[in-house]
Amino acid sequence: MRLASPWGLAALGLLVPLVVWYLLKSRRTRRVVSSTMVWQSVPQAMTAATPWQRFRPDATFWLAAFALVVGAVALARPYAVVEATLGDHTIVIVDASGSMSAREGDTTRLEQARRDVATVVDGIGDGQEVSVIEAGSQARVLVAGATTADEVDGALARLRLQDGPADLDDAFVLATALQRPDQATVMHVVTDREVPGALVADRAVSIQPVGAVRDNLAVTRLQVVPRGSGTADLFVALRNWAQHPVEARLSITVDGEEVAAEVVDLAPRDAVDRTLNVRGGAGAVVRATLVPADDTVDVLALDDSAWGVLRSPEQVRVVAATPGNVFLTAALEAVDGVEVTEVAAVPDDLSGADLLVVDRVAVPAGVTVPMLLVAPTSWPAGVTAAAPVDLPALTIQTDHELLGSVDLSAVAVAAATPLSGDQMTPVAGGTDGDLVVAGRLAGVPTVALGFSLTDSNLPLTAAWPTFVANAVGWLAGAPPTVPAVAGGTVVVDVPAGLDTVLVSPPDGRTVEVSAVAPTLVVDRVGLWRVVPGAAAPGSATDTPAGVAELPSLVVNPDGDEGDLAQPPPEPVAVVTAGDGPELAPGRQPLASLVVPVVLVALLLEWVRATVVARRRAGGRGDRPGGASRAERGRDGRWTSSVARAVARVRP
Amino acid sequence: MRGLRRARRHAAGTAPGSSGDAPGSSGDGAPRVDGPDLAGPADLATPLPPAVVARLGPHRLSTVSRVTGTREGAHRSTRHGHSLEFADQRPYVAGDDPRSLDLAASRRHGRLLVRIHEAEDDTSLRVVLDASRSMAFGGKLGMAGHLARALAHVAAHGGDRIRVVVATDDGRVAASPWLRGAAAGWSIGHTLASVPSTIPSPDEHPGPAALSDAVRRALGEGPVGPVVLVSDLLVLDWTEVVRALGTGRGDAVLIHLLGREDRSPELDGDVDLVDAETGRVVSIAATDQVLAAHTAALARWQEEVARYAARHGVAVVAADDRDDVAGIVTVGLRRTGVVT
Repeated sequence: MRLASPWGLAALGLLVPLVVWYLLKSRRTRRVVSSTMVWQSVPQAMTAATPWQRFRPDATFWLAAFALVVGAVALARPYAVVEATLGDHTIVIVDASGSMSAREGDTTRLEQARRDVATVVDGIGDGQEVSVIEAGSQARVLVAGATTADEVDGALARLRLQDGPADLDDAFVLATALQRPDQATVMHVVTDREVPGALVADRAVSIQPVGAVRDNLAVTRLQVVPRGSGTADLFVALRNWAQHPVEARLSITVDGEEVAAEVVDLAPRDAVDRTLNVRGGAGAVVRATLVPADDTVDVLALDDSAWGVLRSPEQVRVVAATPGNVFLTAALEAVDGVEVTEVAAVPDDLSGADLLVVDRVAVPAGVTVPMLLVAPTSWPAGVTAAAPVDLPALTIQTDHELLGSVDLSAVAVAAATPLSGDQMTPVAGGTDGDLVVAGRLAGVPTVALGFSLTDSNLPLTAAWPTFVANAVGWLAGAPPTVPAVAGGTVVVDVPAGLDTVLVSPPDGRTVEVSAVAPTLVVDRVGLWRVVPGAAAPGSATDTPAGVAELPSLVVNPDGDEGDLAQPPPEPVAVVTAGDGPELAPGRQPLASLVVPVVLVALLLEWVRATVVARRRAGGRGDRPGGASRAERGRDGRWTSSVARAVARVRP
Repeated sequence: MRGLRRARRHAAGTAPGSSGDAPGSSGDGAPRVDGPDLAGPADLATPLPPAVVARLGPHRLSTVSRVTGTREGAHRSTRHGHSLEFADQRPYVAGDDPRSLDLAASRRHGRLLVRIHEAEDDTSLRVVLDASRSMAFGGKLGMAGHLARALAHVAAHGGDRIRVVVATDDGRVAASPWLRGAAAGWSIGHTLASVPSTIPSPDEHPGPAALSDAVRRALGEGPVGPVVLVSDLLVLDWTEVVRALGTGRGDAVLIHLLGREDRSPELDGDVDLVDAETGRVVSIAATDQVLAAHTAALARWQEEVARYAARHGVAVVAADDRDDVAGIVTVGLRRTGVVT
């Protein structure tokens, strides 16, 4: 046994006042005498005792001293050296995915993970550090380089359960970033899912599983398809992960009012689809909830509901100001839901237009609708055109959303004007400059091409209609027909004229989403309400924040998180490669064993004091002329003589 | 356990300082004889040693007051009888036995006179034993039992009756039947041995014995005769006990029996003294001054008991629990006139 805090033994100094107290304490011994009648007449009988007594420890003293010694040892934090579990730097990755909220008896998997981590780091020693990473939809470091178990406990208390899957890749990237070459680093992964082998390769990693195979019911999908006339078709997918048939009730609500209900029999590990038609106004929230008849077959609550939003069929009205471009209009008309109006010049009244396409004509100032600019004769403020170049290189293709499934490697441009702008983001370009840029001009989404379609073979490639479709979706906002999934990233539709929108997830937070980077990681299932935020500077639109509510986002559970039929991973102890880090020995705290000893000692002292006091109180009762208990001996029989008992009576 | 060993040393007469020089010991000249057979017995059941019985042989009960017996005996009776001892003369009345006429006196007085002779009856001795909890300290209880047996032996030897009344530590009064003859000693022993007692714990206090009741019961039954109370009188109402003892028409004797624990207890430091009978606690600091004050207070109390007893016609024999039983009987009680 070793002591982590030897200074705790200084508490043994309390023995000194204890002994002094016993030397000073007037401890009268009880002495039974034949009679005190004569003593009562002795006037000096009650004289004070001498202050310094002879040291006569009694049972109480020894119990108190024992408790004091054991308590001092506990303060010194004794520990035993055990097999290595902690390195110089231990990085704990805790799975905070949705499946970790599954019930395990009277607790949750996440709570079990907390306890497991606390147990691991309880033996943290001098010079050892612990970092904790929360592996949720986005990994984050809860604490880095903690040197005490208390710091780690505080970090564990900040663990936030999320509804989406755990991004272990991201967590390991963070863990790798926390490593230092001069430290032997050990990673502990606490999860209920298999850890990809590639992540643990060539690392000192231990895997601590939590949870077990459980039963679960889930609404795995809810799709809303508007059908016009205020009706919509609902496609609901249900799943039973249990090994036995389950009866459950499916309830459909629109804006909180139940519009349909059905009892569904689900076979073991079966999936069931249901199609319903509901009626509701645009923006109404549809919720499908599955409630099992037996609560024990459903240990995960987050996937018992799915949400959807009713929408009216939408059309994107595009005004194409062009002298005539069949490639452009054909590509626009190829996009679903797009209605193209071709004009020769940009009209003054753009009301009713969702998108303005300017092809080789001038761009007026103060346009408030999203714009796709294809080599206009004048550029709006915020876009700077450089000198035209011939045969510019188009070698740089970013991963911008506009270029999703678009390959520009085969595109050649005869002449172009390189573009730039403070509010514009390069999308594609080359050494001569950026030929395609995107961004917001005074809050208006804008995509600009620095070359004419007639000077390029782009319209002849397969990339062109895809690019146009992406541009229409990015600029005018394609109708979100598929709800987002927890843990995923969604693009929030920030209306023109707004700089930010405020998004409120179901847990009550408020997230501000900027129009510049309108992406958002949705880590909670349910309804995410969106309200306008700050207006864009210089924008004609002056919508005050919080006045009107924008279309809500719905986030449904990830189907894989509900699959609790998956067995937890096999536990893996810390494995170090031959040239791996050399681990310091671990510590097994013994204070938890010592403290009960102190409590037992104090309990014994209390019991002893209570029993002695009760016996004394009971013995002082006068029973004149009578005899009850005292009449009989301990064996319950009459004894033959009083005097035979004298020896026992005498102290 | 230490107390147990000490008590056994007392019982065996091997305790330190057991040579008989305890302060305040009997002042009646009862010789204190050291030796295992004369040491204070531990309980009421211990029989008399043969050496003591041998020394009691020539002694008989005696009475100062006239007695009223049930049989003829050796003690002056309150009645007239037919002994040889002349008592008085009275005028002859019809019906008197003509053989009782005192012819000489009749001639001198000129009328018929008859002789009246003293009657001699046996006597009835009552022995009241205090078997309270305080008597259980030291050898007092055993000494009381020995004194009862010794008096039974003396009474039986003189053809007198004896009865033992015991005030037990549970507040009750037990009494033997009237006994006579050689078997009296055995019967007394049987009675004493059957006195119920307890094995109490140090924290149990049964209360004082009903000593006054025992004395009144002894005096209230049977003919007039002497009564001997053996007690330490360590009760608050000791005056009532003595007063009750003095109300009898016969001779009354108090054998005031104290032990070494009563006279000079072995105390050290601060002590809470617990009364074995009442549980009353007296806290003291056992300094030399306090112990000396206690000794003086005890002596004053003994003198007060003697004075009070004398005022009520009770003779007092002060005794120690380690005194010689035969000495108490043949010397101490002889001075009171109860034993000759």
